[in-house]
Amino acid sequence: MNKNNSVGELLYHSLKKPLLIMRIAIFLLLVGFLQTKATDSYSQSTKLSISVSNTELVKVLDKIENQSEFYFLYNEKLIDASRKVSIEAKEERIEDVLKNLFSGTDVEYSIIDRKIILAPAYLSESQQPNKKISGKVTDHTGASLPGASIVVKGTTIGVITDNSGNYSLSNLPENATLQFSFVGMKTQEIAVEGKIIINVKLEEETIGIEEVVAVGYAVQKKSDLTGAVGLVSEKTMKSNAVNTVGAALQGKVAGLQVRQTNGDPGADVEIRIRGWGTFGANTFPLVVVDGIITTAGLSDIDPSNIENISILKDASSAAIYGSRGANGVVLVTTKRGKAGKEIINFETYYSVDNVIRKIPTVNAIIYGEMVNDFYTNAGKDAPYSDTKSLGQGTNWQDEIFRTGGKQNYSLSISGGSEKAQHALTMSWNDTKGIVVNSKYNRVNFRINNDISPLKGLKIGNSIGLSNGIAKNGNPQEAIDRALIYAPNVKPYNEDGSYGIANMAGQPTTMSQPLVAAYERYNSQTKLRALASIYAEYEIIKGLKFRSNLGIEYNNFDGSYFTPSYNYGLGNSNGTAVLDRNTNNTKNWMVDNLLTYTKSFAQSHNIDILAGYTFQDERWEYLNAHKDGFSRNDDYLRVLDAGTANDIAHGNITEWAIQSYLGRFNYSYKNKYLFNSNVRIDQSSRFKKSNRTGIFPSFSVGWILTNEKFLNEKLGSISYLKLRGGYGILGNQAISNYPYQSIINSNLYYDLGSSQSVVPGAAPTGLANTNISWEKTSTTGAGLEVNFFRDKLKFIIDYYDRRTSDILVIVPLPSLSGLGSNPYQNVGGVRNNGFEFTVNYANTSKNKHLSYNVGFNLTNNHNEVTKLDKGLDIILAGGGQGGTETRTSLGHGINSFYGFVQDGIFQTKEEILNSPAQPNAQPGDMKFKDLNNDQVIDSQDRTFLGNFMAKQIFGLNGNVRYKNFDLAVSVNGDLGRYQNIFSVGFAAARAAESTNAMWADRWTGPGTSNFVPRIVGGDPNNNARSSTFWVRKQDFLRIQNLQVGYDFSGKLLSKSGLSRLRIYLAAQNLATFTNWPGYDPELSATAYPLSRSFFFGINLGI
Amino acid sequence: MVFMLVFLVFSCEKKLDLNPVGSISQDSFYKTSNDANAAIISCYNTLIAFHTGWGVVSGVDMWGDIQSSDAEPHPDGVAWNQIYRYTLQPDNGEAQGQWFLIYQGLFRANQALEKIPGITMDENLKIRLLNEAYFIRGWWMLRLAKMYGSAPLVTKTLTVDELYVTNSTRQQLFDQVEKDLLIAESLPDSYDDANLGRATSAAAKTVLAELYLWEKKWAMAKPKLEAVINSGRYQLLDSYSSLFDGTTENSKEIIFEVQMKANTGKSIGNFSTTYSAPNGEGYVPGGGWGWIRPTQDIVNEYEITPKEDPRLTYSIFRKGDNVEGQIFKDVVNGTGFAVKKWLISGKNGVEIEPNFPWQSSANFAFYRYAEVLLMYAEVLNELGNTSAAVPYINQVRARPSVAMPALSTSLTKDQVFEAIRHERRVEFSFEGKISFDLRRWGIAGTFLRSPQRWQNNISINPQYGGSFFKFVDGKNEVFPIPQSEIDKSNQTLNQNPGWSK
Repeated sequence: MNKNNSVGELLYHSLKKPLLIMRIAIFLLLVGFLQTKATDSYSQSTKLSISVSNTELVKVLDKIENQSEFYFLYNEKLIDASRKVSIEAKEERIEDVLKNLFSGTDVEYSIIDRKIILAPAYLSESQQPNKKISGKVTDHTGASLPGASIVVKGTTIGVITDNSGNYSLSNLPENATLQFSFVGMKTQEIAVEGKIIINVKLEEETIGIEEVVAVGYAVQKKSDLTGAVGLVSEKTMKSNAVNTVGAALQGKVAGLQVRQTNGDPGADVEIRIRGWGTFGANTFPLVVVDGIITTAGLSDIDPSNIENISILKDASSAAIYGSRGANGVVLVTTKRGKAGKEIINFETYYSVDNVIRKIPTVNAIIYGEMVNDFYTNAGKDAPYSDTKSLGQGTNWQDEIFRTGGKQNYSLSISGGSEKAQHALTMSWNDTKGIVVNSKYNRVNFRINNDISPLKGLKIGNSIGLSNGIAKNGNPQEAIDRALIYAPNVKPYNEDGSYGIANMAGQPTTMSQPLVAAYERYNSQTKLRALASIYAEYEIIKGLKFRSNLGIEYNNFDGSYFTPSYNYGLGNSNGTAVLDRNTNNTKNWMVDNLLTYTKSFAQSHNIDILAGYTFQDERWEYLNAHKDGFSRNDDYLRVLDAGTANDIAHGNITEWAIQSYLGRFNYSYKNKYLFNSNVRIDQSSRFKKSNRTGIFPSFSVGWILTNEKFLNEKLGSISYLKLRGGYGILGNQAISNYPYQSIINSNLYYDLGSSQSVVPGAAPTGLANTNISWEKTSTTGAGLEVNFFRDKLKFIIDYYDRRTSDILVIVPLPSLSGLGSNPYQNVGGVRNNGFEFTVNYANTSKNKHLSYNVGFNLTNNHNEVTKLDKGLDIILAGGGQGGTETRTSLGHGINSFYGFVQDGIFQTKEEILNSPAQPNAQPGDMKFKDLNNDQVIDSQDRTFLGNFMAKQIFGLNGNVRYKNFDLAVSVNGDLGRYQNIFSVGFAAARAAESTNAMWADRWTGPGTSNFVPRIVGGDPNNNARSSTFWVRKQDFLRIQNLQVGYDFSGKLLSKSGLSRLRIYLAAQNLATFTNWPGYDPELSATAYPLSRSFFFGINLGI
Repeated sequence: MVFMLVFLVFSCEKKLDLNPVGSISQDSFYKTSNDANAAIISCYNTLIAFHTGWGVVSGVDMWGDIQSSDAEPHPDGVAWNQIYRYTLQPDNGEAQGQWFLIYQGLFRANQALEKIPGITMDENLKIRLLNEAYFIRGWWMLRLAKMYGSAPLVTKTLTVDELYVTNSTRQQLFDQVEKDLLIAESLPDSYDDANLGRATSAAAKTVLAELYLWEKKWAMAKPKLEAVINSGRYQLLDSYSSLFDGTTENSKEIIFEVQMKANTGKSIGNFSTTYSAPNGEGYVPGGGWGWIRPTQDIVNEYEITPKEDPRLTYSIFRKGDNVEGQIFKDVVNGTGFAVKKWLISGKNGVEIEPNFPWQSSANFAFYRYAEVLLMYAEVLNELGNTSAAVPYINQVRARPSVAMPALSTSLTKDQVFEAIRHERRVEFSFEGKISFDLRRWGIAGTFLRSPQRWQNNISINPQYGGSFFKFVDGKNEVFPIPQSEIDKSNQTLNQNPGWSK
């Protein structure tokens, strides 16, 4: 129920259904657009069944609204809604029901499509004979507004418009000013000044304006935004059946890149906003949950707790977070209670999960041939004399993957009174991983309260707790081994023991995949608490002081037990070992904020914020090791049961930051918007003289559709806003004591006949005291334009992020003799691009069908623009790994670097006739002589591709027909490369690849011009970084498909439920890619994502 | 309301002055004699990692053995196989690792040499500690010169801006080695029990002698070696095999050895056991990786008449041999041979870790008295005193557990040189000496390309066409400067001659 105290004393009361205001707006639009065509077909076709006795009228109206699309508009003061009525109706038309309800009263009703207006009969006639002034009140489409109030300002004199929207008033005082108001419309004041007719067109207050957006330390109306802010609503989150918040964000907002980098149950996602702004300091966006700047980000937050998420993308929106916001900000708001009836929701889902694809591997026969090649090409004896006899053998992936599944239960209760509101949620998620012996479960609790004990004072809290437990063998090792373990080994011997590789030509030093999966006992528990309390006091009207105290506590507790066993070669463990690793983060912060909001003369709105915040984060770890356990029993897996090698490690690191912040917003008549922020940060990570960073920003906006002179000329354009801004943000997210030179006291040596261990000490890292803030300046401009009464919406943004003084560890010459190099403020990076979002929403005339399609596309260009001394920064190198990457002037951060493969040498003649490539033999890779000097050497390396996507896109659609709905989301990346040189792909080591790609290897002239021969020792260094190993990861994925049904009508009312929904969903339904690894979002052999089919039920009481 | 006020009066400026917890800043260190000692211990600590194989600290020096015909690496070790056959390129990952280890050793010594003089402490102890630092710097500098030939000469700690240093010549490096070791010569002759293992004067003289051998300054090497021999402190142990099984640490035969200890959790143990034991036969904890495997060529080098050199059985075991009650089947290795030195199963009481990282407590000798004797024989022979040289070779051959027949004192100079080459090769097999010897003697190319090498034998290994080793004279005497170092050097570092850019 929506109560609105307007200035005009008359209280309008509309019985509210979800999205009522939107409906009114849409209705009015439709009425305006199709005025002459308006029919009452809905009222004719809809049949209602009601059976009540001696019930308040208001409740009856409620019931009608609940089982139909009708809604009522009436003036509470004129209609007695508490009147007790009785009615018995069975499959009757609305007219008949209303006739029944209001017979014998003076209430008249009019049905306009789904809208039913109730008004006293006397309003239908002009009751004032001495009219001095009259006119008609309409909405902006020209549709008349019955029941609008007109009050003479400063008096209690007033009238209400009749069913045609007409009014008249007499006995007006001198210099009277009339106030016209209607719920959902902006109040207008007009001076009479001798006029006798005043026709008024009221502007809606509803469309796109009610939506408020969290912007950091405050909320702002969406229409007032001048920066680039992306929004993800609860509804959007719901359309994805996923158990992490991060995954639900994928493909939803332009400029937001979300990657699932691991399919391990409980694994989190990797988020970047508008590309990678730096190649030194942290590139993760700041994640703020209910005002708490978090350390652990979105991990372990229950998606069902989320009210909405704002993505602050540019400097002008993120500047209030100053030093913290250079990589953008993700603002999460959890659900809070609302005054009114208790709402109880229960949601559950079940899923069946399977690996999306297995990597094709060879059978034992081909494996035997491959291994023979490896040895014979290196001049050694072939281990297998008769490969044909090896047969098909074992597919190890079949052994380690299984059908997994998830179950999830969530119960929430929210509600409250005007003075106190609450929201409680509990949920439980249990996941059985798709790799054998991997499971995860998580419990979440959340309690949010808001209390108003005194006038002007509000106190509240947000407390979220989660506890996630993973219990596994070693699933990643099992996967890695499954891709290389010999197919000519059986998983189990006939006596039930593990089959183990035990001969030449097999990986005899490796764990058998099932041993890795089953013979380790790893448990990891993550406890997370996010708690904040606030108090807010309104000192004088518009001036508020708010204080927030937030604490984040993350505790990680890992227990890793490897029993003693001896299953054979490479699968023995002499003594049982226990490692216990725990660490915790205590992150606390306090915010003190003073805000002032004021409107002057109805046209000038200002909004000022001044604040101080302090944050401190302390990380502590404790690792302990023991071995020599006498037995492997469960109850002995504690440190005290070990007998040897007590080893303990532990340390603490801490950093702190304090900040002063200010914001000034100004808007003029909702047309011209101005916003500016400044934040002054001081970080403990820099020495005193370099500690302070000042980060200002400003932005402006212009809503052209609010300009009278333009509004008429814009045709089908219903909303048009231009905005632009500039700001500077900082980054200091590097290690905690980077400027201090530290002595490492763990450089031991033993001396004496008794071999006493003596600690030695020396620096092992270079220090640089001169470091200071990394800075990112962003220039951005955006255009928001809506057509056809906001049915079609476009948002286009251009941005240019330039990061300078990048804090990076430059790989320095090893002449320093120090293992770690210091941070330096060198280099610059530019990310520029555009973001494009389009959304089309429509509802059919009969309202049975509505649909919504959204598409977003981000195009980002990443380029290193400056590197001091022209240094090429090699982040990974070496000729063996195939994994050389470089951060280099004019190229993207961390670009893959290496040789360009030019086929395979087929013959000796070809080698002789090609540029000199030392040690090449027929069957080896041929590389391009890029500098044309007839020699293949390191000068012939080049940039092979980016590891960041150039384009990210998302397509989200949903259709509702009657009670059915269908939602689909598709996402994809283009232009991203990844290296496949990893276990399972590389045949550079003996008997360690079973990848099917090697079945097509070169075995003689003409057999292959792409996959080289397999040869022990790899004399040609085929393993070197080259285009053979660096592959595209472009993909398009149907990420989510959901079909739901919402029950309504009798069945629902009989069940006593207010809401019942069932749905079927599929996650990762189809993926289109050429990437040869498990998944195009992951590195080649990481724990793969699963394809899941869900069944879910949501019900509300 | 109360807590709001509490928040308001916050002043947190001081809370921003955060210093590292659990570590000392450089400014507050180097104040006491304990600090000075710790600085020196950190120098010795670098010796544990004088060599790493497959990224782990190893007592075996693959560099010294793999680049000869004596040992081949595991087929999985791509970079090592390239080093073995001399097909490596400047981007070889192992070469990069070795470069860093050398400069790490030089840094620790430089840091000690710069910081210790300012410490107020017992002057005699201070001088001794500084001399130890000179010893370690000299040893690492010699390794740098031996391996890379020309490289930056770094004799002080460098700041971020000073890291761009161009190559010095091998002679300039040699000169610095000489300077340091002449100072280190004043180290004590011996230490009390608690300090056993530190560098002695004899150790400094021995390294100096090795330097002079590289420089062919025979006359200068002579007095250094004589001083060691005449000191009477050193003698050959009766048991050859006990030198490697961890049972005789810091013995009479040891001039200088790297001290290693297992089960400390501090990575100061010797990994060579698991590293070199045969792959897949469970002789040692960790099963054995077989990363270094004897070849037929080194087996052929051992004398068999009039009796088989016992050092063959002490150093190498062959397919079918019964070792510690287990028959060696060579199921995976494939060469038919395995390294027996450092084969420590734990049965003889020497500690070895039962779990990863399977380190043992066996020390690894850099210089044994046997080498002093053979160097001295070489010096005498080169100085023309051939007949006087032979008895020193014979001393080594006469070790009771070896007891090989004496050589005749009437051999020619060339024959004695030949005998020294043979003796060094079999006495120090898998101790990281042979390939450096071949280079020092200037015969690496001819030796490795010789058809006598088992690897080059066309009838046994036809696939290599008689040229298994790709040693190129004028190039392969030294290693390439690591490509990544050249890339990072801002054009100050130059590649060695003959290597591709």
